[in-house]
Amino acid sequence: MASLSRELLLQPDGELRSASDTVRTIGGQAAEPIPFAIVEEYYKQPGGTLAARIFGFDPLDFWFGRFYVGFFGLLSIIGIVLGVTFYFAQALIVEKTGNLLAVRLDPPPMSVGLALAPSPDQGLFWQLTMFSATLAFIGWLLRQVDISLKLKMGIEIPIAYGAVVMSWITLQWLRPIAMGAWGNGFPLGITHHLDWVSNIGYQYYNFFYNPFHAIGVSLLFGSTLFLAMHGSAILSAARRPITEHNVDVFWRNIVGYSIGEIGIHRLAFWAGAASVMFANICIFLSGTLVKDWNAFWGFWNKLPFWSGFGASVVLFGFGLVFSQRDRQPPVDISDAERTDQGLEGSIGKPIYVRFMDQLFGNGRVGPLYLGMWGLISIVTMGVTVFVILSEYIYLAGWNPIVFMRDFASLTVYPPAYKYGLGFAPWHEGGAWLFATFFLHVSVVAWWMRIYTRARATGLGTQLAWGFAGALGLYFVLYLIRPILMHSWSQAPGHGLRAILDWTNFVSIQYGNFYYNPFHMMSIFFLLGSTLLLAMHGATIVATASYGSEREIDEMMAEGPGTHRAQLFWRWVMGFNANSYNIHLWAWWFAALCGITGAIGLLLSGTVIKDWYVWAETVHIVAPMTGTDWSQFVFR
Amino acid sequence: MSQRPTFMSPNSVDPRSAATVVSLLVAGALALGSIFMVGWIWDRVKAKAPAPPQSSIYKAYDPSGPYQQSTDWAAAQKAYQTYEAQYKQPQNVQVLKGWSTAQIYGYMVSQVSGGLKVGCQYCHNINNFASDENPMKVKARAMLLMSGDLNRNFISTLPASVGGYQVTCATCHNGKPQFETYPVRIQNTLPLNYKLPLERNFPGGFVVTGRTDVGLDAVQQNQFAMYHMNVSLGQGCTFCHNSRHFPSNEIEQKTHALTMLKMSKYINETYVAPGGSPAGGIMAAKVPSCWMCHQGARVPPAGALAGQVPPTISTTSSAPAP
Repeated sequence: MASLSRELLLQPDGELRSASDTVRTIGGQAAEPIPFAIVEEYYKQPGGTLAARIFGFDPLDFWFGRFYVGFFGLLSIIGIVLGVTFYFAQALIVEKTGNLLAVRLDPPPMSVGLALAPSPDQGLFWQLTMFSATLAFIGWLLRQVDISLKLKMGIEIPIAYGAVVMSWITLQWLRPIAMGAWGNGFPLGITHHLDWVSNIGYQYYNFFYNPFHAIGVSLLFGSTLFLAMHGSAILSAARRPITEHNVDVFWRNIVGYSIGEIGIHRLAFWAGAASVMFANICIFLSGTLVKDWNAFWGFWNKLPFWSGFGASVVLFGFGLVFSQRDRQPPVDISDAERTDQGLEGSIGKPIYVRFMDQLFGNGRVGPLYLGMWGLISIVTMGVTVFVILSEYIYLAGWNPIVFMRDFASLTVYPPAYKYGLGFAPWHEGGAWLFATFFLHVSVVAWWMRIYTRARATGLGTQLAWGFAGALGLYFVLYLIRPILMHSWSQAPGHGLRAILDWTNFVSIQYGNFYYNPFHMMSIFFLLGSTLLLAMHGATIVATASYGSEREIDEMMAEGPGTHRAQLFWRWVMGFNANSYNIHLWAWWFAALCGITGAIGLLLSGTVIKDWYVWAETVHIVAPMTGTDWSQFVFR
Repeated sequence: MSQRPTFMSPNSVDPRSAATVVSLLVAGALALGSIFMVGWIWDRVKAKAPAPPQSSIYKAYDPSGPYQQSTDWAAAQKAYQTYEAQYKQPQNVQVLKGWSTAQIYGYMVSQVSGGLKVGCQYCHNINNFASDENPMKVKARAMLLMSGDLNRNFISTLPASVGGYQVTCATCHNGKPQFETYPVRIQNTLPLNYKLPLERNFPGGFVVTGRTDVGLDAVQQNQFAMYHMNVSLGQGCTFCHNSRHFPSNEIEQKTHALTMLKMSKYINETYVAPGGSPAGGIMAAKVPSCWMCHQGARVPPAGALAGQVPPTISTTSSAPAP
């Protein structure tokens, strides 16, 4: 029976898909699905692996249950078994504890240099675990290459995963070797690695001022945002009598551009991988070239264009560039986005941007929907921005060059502690209260805009509720927690550096946020979101030549691209999502990042005064006796 | 079954121009990376900063300078020969008691002249070295008493592991008669008029962790002070703190830093603005900073080695009679 079905479903181009292709474009009706067992049986064929291509044979080219083995699977298994054994050996024999949260594996002392550690109490098990883990990670990477080749997919997934492996190699190999001792490596342990992150951050004075750290973290948050947007978009169109065209119109209404089905997955792949690559640069430079990330910025005020002459040269250059810019003619305005409906209509005409077409596969930009909520949101945001910028220029002494030069440092601070929840003079926090009130109105109006436009374009309201998760964190930050703490001074100032400083200060005042379990969860969901985004994006890009990016249709009737995407992960890790529920994973990871972060912040200062002391009371802090402190001291 | 390129949409990009762009980008990245690597290796290979001057008196400070080639300097030497021939035991000595004229001369040349890089005439009438007619000499005497006070009451409480360095003229002056305690170049992101909040009490003056009676504005002030210490000693926060919990006292250097903060507060209250009035102070209203002595190093480069400070103003001296 199974082989008969396959005969029926095998198409002339050699691909396996449902015979009635028409259902895929109409939507609304589920096609007769091909049983997944038949799909898997069809694709489970020997050959095509790296070893088979290079040596002509691959004795390990077989499956173990759902898992694909292969030569690199064997390498990974060896690395995993050895690494776990060494980890537990350290816990049970050296540390003599079964408390897995507080176990620590410190690297060898600095005096060992780059040699093999002499004894278990001098970091031998750290070294062995680290070597085994490296073997396992590289094995896993090459196993992904094998499976990609076998399924005749692109190799974007191992490339994205390789960026993560590269960060392990930077942290544990490149940086320690560049600095001359394994002692500079990253200690292992569930809470103990947080100690290292605290200490390495503050050794270089303030990691928040490390520009690569800032870009990396921005990309992590950006990835979570993209994940929430993409997950919501697919879920809100799923199982409704609509097409991807409705989704496109929704996004153009909201932000003036819809990146499109293939575009979002390309962006996902790039943003996820780039966040890790910037993180690698950020840690590698610390200690090798830079020892004070505050003094690092000393070059900024010395740049020549802060002088009047330098500024005129730069402005002249801008003038030259912009005067030569050619304009694209507008194309294709004949569609449903009407511009003749007054307030409840669209503004602007659609234009075609070739660059965006090349990058994302969709060059159409605009028109943008305005509407009452949009208007409220834009006007109140305008008030906020105007107040903040006018305070900046006041603080800069009405000097435009100082305004530009110090832009990142200029801050509109909330009223100081002594003002409590009361009003403060305009330049001592009054401006902050005014600007922040209008910011509250603006974000709520933007939520209404997202909700009403989703309704109007026939979509579900998943994006609005995902955005509500982020708004929860926003209101805890700027409104709820300051009220509970009886002081506006607990809220962040409005300024680029002020946001970084706030993060640092609030962690210091409440005894190290790394020991806040809700912060731990929020970081888990943040990094998890980036991982999901990069892997999902890479999976779709790697199978896009088989049409897998058309997810709204694919979830009704899976085609060869979606089959490959599912089988890849089934063979790599034993289970797989599908083109519907991967977006459920996406939505929940992104939303929980904001929700758990909001809970963690809400408890700080109100319930818990010092998270480190709390962590000691629940016995999750690793001892730090015998740690070689010289790794954190400049010689 | 042939696979299309998946990085960019094949419909919109001419493969040849895409290949050109990608090649150019890769080449650019490689070129930048190579320049960076060469620069980095060059930095590592090229001669390091000149080795700190070796001195039998100072940690890493060279008291010599062009002031020793001036005609004033020669005249003062000649005048001193005459004075010493006349008085083997000095006159009008109020601080360096018990020393012969020659011993005082040795100290004056290497540590007072050498510390400020000035000639004898800066304080003395060279025709009568004992005279107090130059107010600078009276001030210098007050300074000597101050260094004795600091050595005795603060430096002596540091453990031997710190190295036994002591305060002498050069420790703060570093070869300049007048000096900035908060030079603009070390402020970086701090407010340009930033000074240590020495009106607070130590220990405890900077503690913010776990407190709900202060706002984040207090944490910011704390961070300013901490960054000032970072840049002054050329160390990160981890020199004194296990940064997983800042209030803990696991690292020995933190107790030393507290001693130094108490000393700075004492200098400010006793010598900069006694009774709150800078006019009565001898330090020209300069609020002391960590940079003043440390100059970006763990140990102040012009700290005097053990045994080099006159016994009457060293860590082991007894307080002078009022």
